[in-house]
Amino acid sequence: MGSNVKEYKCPACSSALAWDAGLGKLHCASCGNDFELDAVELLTEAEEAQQEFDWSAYKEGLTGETLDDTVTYTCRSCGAVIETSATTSATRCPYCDNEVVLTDRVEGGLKPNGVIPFKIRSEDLPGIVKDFYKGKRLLPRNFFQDSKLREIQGLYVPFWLFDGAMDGTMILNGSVSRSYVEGQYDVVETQHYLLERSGDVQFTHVPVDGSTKLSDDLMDSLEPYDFSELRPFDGAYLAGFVADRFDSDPDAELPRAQERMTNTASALIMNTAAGFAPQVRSNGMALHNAAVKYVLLPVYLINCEYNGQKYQYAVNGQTGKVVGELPISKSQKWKWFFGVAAAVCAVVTALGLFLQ
Amino acid sequence: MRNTKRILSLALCLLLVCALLSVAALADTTGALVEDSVGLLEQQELEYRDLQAKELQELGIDAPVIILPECDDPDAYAQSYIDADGWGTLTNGTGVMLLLVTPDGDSGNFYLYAFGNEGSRFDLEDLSERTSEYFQLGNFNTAIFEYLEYLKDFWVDATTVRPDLPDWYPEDVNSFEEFNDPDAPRLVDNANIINAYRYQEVLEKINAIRDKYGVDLVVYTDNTSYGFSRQLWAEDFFVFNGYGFGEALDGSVLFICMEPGNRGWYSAFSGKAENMIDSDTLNYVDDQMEPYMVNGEYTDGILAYLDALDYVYSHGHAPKKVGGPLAAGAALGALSGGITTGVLKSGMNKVKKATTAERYVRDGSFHLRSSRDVYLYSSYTRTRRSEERGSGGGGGGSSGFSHSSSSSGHSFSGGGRSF
Repeated sequence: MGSNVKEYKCPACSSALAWDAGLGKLHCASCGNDFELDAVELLTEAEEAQQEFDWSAYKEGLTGETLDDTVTYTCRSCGAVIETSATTSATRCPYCDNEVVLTDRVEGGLKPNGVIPFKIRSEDLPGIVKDFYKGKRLLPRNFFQDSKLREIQGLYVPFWLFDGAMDGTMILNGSVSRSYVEGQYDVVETQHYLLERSGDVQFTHVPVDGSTKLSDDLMDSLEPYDFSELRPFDGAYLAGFVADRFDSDPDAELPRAQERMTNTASALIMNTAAGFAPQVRSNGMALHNAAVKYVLLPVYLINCEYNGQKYQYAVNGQTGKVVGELPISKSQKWKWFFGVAAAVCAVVTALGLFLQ
Repeated sequence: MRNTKRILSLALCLLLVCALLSVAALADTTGALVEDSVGLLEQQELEYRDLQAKELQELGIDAPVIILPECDDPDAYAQSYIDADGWGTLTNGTGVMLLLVTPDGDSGNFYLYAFGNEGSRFDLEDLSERTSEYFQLGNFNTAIFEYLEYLKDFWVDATTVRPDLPDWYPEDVNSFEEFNDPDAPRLVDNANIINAYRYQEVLEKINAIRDKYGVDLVVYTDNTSYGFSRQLWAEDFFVFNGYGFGEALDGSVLFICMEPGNRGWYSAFSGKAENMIDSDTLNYVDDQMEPYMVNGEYTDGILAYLDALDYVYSHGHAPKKVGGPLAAGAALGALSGGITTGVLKSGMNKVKKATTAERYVRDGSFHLRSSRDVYLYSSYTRTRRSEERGSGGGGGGSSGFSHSSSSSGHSFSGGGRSF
């Protein structure tokens, strides 16, 4: 094993703090603040204490065990804590691309219930990314030459899988209209109804990522995963990859899953009143029998820099689906706009003159 | 000072009592004209029909509609109703009463009673026939609506005062025989709207077109269309005055009517001239004339009309306008360009927040336990149907090109606008 390092994050900007022997304090090179060691240690302990989650009720499905056959690295810059197998060495942070260091004094994280192993090989990624660029007409012409593709890192991202049943009653406003002619008038008669619908529906494996360092939208966009390939967790799956440790507990993420389930359950209920053009008057759908599991899902993160701006793409390590925001060339955009506008204008004008 | 206050208070009280009495009297005369004791009409329908009947009152007739479940002696009931005070006093008692006796809406009889000073003007036999047709529609609300609308049209028509027809209008239209009068004046300005100094200029232009294309042309203005539509009056004027060349009466007339509420023009084309104009070209001609007519520059409007008519007779089509198609092309082009770049832009960002969970619904797990639909109420919106242009309405837009026959049976094509 390498050296043992205890990392402290700046309370102001979350950057790594360094010991300044001259001042006898911890110094933040990023924001320039100095902190007493005792104060920062107190703050760090308080933050760590907050991470002791309450595994009650719906969290009974979680293992409750800790990982003991992995090594832990911490990013010097963004503070990300990542884990990998003892045989794999990590050098760069998958999130911010900065250096990571071993911190084996950090206790092992929660052992996941399951893992979906990587199916996409890292050597296939250049071809997959190339396909992703295909057909992107607004991509800058020099993007391929000028963009710097950083190291592609295979990362197991922590996800919470929520199960549950939405059950309840919805009250809807509904209306049915018919038109007819009455003498010199067009009449529209609208019948108004109050609609009551009760029902239930069950959900399994609604995924919500448990990492605050990754954008929720980016992780949502990687769906779907095939959960039939979910395997019981084994540290051997981490060989050659790194795994992020969750930093957002299920209690914090449950509302996101609940919102998705509520929207879908409401839509199913409203479909039963489609002929009435329904509008929600009150929604009594509630979550019951909730359960959660902790899993690791395979993601490749690709960090790219173009014209001084950083772009991050993610690849579903199971299906090869690529998501991310590509840079847009203004000149390409205007070329397309004026090209199409001029062509349509010419055709319509010619047709108009011909038909006159 | 105190006495002055008392006098003022007394006067105010008196005024208040007078006002209350007036309101009471008014309420008495504006009571419900449509009464439904059977419940065939919904509350809102009843209110609409009552409003309709009150509109008729403003035109000068009462049209009470009474629906009863049973009535042993309808005549006696109607008589007592008509004689009773409390309604109808606004119209001096003239009108028609519809009494519908039906226990359930499925079967029954209706009775019509004309009354008042001018009650004899109603043709009850004809009205009865039509009302019977309306009730066969099956919807009582619609039937009563149609009945009241017919009464309105009949009364408006019966009370419209028509001026005496001019001498040239034949006494017996059916026995009229068409003729050509080459000497009839081709510019008849009865409305006196043409500038006297430019009268000759207009006439020369008319004659030039007649000579150039071998079709007759007459411009006729008047202060009335004699109770007829502008279209029918223009066509009758043309035929009954012997205008048009040859047996087919080749030629056209521009009739400008300056009657208040009926201001507008109509162009009628006959024989060979019918084939020299169509909807598009007439629209072009009217477009050239309209701005002048709207601004009261009638002589300029007529001259613009004649110039435009000359052009379409000569070319067979209206001048091609580049501006219109170019503007449409530019607008559509900008829209297409915007949509295209929008679609391309959306392809550059595949990141989207998930808001639903359809793909995580367990198969067959959705159960609808109960479902209840409770009817609350009905609402109605009524929009008056748009009328054909050419017989009224504002300026601008299409000329309403149509084919028709004049009173003599001669066929025409044409159209016009209001201003």
